[in-house]
Amino acid sequence: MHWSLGFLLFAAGTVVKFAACVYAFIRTRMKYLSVKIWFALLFAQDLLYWFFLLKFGPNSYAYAVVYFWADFITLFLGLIIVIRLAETSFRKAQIQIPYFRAGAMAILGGIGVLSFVATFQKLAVAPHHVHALIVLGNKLEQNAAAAGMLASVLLFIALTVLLVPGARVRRIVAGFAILYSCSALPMSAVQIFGFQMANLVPWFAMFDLAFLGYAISEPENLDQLRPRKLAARRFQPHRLEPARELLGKAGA
Amino acid sequence: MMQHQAFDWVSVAIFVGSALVLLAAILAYAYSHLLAADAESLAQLRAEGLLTGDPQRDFRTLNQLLSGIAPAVSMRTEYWVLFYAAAVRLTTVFGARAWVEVQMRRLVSHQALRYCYAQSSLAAMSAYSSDSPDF
Repeated sequence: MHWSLGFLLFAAGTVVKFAACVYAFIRTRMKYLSVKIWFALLFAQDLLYWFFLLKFGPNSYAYAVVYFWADFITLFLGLIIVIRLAETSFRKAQIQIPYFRAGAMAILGGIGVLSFVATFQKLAVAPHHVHALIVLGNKLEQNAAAAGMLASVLLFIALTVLLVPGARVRRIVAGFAILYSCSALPMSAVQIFGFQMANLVPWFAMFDLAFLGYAISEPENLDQLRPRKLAARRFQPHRLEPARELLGKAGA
Repeated sequence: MMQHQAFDWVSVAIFVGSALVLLAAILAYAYSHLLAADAESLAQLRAEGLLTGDPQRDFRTLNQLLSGIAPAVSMRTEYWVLFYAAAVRLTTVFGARAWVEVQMRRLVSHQALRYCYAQSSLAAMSAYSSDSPDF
């Protein structure tokens, strides 16, 4: 197997997913469990990719189908989690939006149908080597990512405008918006410029997962931070001199 | 271009839109961190004479102070704070001075709170280091 930069990035992305997942589970215990389970699912998805990649190779049909469809399925499940987060936050703030879940599901269904129709309309003039399942998977992934991106941004605006309490839920929603826009950007680049743009995916995946992992694991308030033994071992009193000088000037 | 498709305007729209949303989402992520800040720490530091009331200057002072004690307490000024401050300063080009003032005050409050926690962490850590035989 040829280990190019893309493969190494992909491997690094898998390691980042695992580390972020473990870190999120350790730091926050049972809070936002659905988000953390989804994170674990992302890691499982990477393991599935590696299995197909090593068994069938990067240019195989099986790997291509698994690659796009597994990504679409996890993005879709992520959308359901965003809807669930919105419901929970609004319920906590005693805000009721009628038909919220039904409306959201109808929109998601609509996106699926539109992607299906748009793809198969174009495939009528496609050469035979472009398989319908791969193109449809790519299109669905792009559209689901775009829908997730817009849903996350709208939810963040709604949380801010309706003064729903909670800093961490905002960070997680913003993290989802980053994740979906980072998925939509390379996928739409693939649609516009061709499949060589798929090399962008691992870079964006590492960036967005680091953001989301940090958003989940970071405490709600600063007062939950505690000095750690490791930090105490790195304590360097001479590094405090600039601060002392500044304080002296301010006092004078 | 993919050879099996005509020019895909939906994909172009998603490409441009996602780039813009990515930038907005990073700013939103940064903004969501500022919500924990309160005026208490700010008032305390002002009473001590550390801060002047000029948000730009106070922000610089607090950054310098935090960078001074950061190695000890693992509370370095995060990149998103600097990114948000740079983005806020950039909006002065569009003339939104009142909004910039509010956001800079928010940033100063946040940094003031972090500085107060850094100070208390430093005190706790100094006590730990004097107690610990293996330090």
